[in-house]
Amino acid sequence: MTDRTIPHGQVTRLLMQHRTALYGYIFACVRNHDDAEDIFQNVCVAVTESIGRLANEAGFLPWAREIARRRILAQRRSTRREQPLDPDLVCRLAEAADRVERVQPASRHRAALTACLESLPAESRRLILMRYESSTARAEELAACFGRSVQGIYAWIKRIKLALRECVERRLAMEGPS
Amino acid sequence: MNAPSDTDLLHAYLDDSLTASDRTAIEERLRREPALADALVILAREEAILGEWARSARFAEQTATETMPPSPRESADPGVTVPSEPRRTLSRRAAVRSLAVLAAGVLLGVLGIALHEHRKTGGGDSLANVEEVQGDVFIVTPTGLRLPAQPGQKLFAEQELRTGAEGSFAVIEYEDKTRLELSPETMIRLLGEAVPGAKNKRTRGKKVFLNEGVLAAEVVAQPADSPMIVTTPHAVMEMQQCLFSSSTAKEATRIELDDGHIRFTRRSDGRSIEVAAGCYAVAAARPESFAQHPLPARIRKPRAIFNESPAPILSLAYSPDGRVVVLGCRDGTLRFCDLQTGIERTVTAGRRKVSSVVFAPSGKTLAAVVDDRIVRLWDATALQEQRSFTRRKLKFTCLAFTRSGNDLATGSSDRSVTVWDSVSGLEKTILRGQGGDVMSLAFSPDARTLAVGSGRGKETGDVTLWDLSRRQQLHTLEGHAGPVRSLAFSADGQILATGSDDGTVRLWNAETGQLRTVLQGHARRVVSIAVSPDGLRLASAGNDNTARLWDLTSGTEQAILKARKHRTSCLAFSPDGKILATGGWDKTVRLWDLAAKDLGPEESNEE
Repeated sequence: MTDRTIPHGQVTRLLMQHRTALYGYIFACVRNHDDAEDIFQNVCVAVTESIGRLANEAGFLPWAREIARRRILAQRRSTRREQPLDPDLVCRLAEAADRVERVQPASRHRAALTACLESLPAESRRLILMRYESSTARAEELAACFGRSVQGIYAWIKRIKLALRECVERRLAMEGPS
Repeated sequence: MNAPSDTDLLHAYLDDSLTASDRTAIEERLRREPALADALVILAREEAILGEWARSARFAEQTATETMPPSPRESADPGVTVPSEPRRTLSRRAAVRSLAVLAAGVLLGVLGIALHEHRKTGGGDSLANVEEVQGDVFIVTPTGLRLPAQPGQKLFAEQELRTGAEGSFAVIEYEDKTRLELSPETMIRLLGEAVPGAKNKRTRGKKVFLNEGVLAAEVVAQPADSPMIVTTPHAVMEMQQCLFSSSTAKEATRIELDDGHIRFTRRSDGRSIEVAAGCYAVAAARPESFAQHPLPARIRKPRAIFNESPAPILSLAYSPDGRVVVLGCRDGTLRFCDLQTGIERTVTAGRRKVSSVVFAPSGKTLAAVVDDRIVRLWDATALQEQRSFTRRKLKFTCLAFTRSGNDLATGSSDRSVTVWDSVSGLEKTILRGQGGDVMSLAFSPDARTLAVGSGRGKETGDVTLWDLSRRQQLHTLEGHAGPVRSLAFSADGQILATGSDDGTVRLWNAETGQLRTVLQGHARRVVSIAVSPDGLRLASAGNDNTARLWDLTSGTEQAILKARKHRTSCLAFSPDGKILATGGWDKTVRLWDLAAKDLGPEESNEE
């Protein structure tokens, strides 16, 4: 344990490094990409402003996740009173995020998944690109673009994701434990 | 791992497509079953990664399009019309190549995260450093991460730098001391380095994409085979060594060159011209005439500079005897600068800011809008507060005295104007019915008419002329495409000048409400205007870091008052009309001598 604080210049790197883990946790809680993006940006600002309070890098992710947990509850209190979040559930998901990160760091998950995207057929990759480049991509538009029915698009995306998941599991199993 | 049905259920939960009862049931299970909660987190993480991947791929595609400079043949041949289709095809090819690079697992190169890891291990260098930051300035990474910028931070290829609204500013510097200065509401992307692992070397060197806003730059001598290239949606600028400012808005890009020369290429048809020092040129979205034009004379060296203010200067007023300039500052203070003795006195008016300050014509009273909530009046000699006006929940935005000094009008964000008796403090009149928030006020010289400038949203602004004796609207002046932040009557009351966020100053017939002239020159929001006491000149200050001097009768631009780093927010003529005082976000007041002899050749810069 060192008593040196983290230089401001390192904040960007740490946020980039843990972006997936943080965003994934926030999205698991709020289940809306626009809300998740807003909260994530707020967390970035809060982390940047208060990084001086953190003693070392090792504690960065739990600390940032705790900031995210508070922001999630605060944001939901102020904007979505009709569908409040249970603070206990937000806590349980934070514990889950911690467990998952220890077993399967987000950086490994990302590397495996992006490599698996490489192995997708071109049309499948194009569909995933269009589906995810905007949080508002509508199934009707994708269906028109690819000449399929809306149900067909849903089924196709489901099959692609299943294939990607299996590919990721295979890759991670081949690499061995982290 | 969970059964497939659980995975489907969790997907539906993330999509928010479950019924309320199913949602409650799954949430109850998530609380009790750690494995299910773990599975949800993994699925959410997967969504995050797919989103990052897709955005990065799209970003790479856009960058490939935006960074495409014209080929040497295109830029060397002015007048040749280059069909746009081949370029689009090239862009698509470049985009496909980028996607292929991505898909090949070289997210190591394109994804900011991996890129950062690459740099951390010494595999890539930063392009430039953030030297100075003021207000809201953000770095945006290729994956969409938005971080507050701080001095000393390093900037890497593909990162964006964005400045916020009024008062925001940033300076970045390359290793060779080439400096870029970003005005408010400006967005650039650094493209100066080839993506590691990519074969495309076209992006090597100093390359910047100016998406919107104003960029001023001092470019030191570049290698002959590697000029600096600034690209905008409308133009490509290629330079070796120069001093310039470039502004880009939706419709056009304008370049003003102080020193050196620039090859300026219009992207719509590939035509190029050489722009020389002392000239400007415009590349519009729609092809029009394309040539360089001489800039108006410049006054670059102020007669005097006061830089003792510890905070940005938001408002400024000359005392009627011309001895004192009063500054309203962003730290809640008023600063009285005695121009003859040099003595400065400070009054703490509020906690945050003094956004508007004005002398009564007698010079005995000074009024100011403090912290948006209070209007305070001081004895201008003793600097003692005489009176204050406030109304619950009302945000004051501007104020103006009548020529007699008996009445004081205040504008507010509830779209109303209140006219107060400045002696008794009683409200005399409330005028309602503005089209938007009141942002500026001016009494006609005979005090019969009050002009009220307002704004609604970013693209609507108008001016209402009120007959004060009958409390009736005389005219509504429409035409500005942005809020009207400043107003001034000519000395004879015949002309009303209005300055707006749309970057124009408009001159109106104050009696009929007819538009006389549109003064164009500012590249960004016009924040302050003033008419000289003799009624012959108009001065305007813009967010493009310039103040401009105009002939009020003909509408001709007479001079540009520009100093490096000077970000003007307010201005005022001296009572004799010989001096123009400008104050700004750089905490400095400059006094510009407007005598004709100074409108000649440029003087050296004071910084």
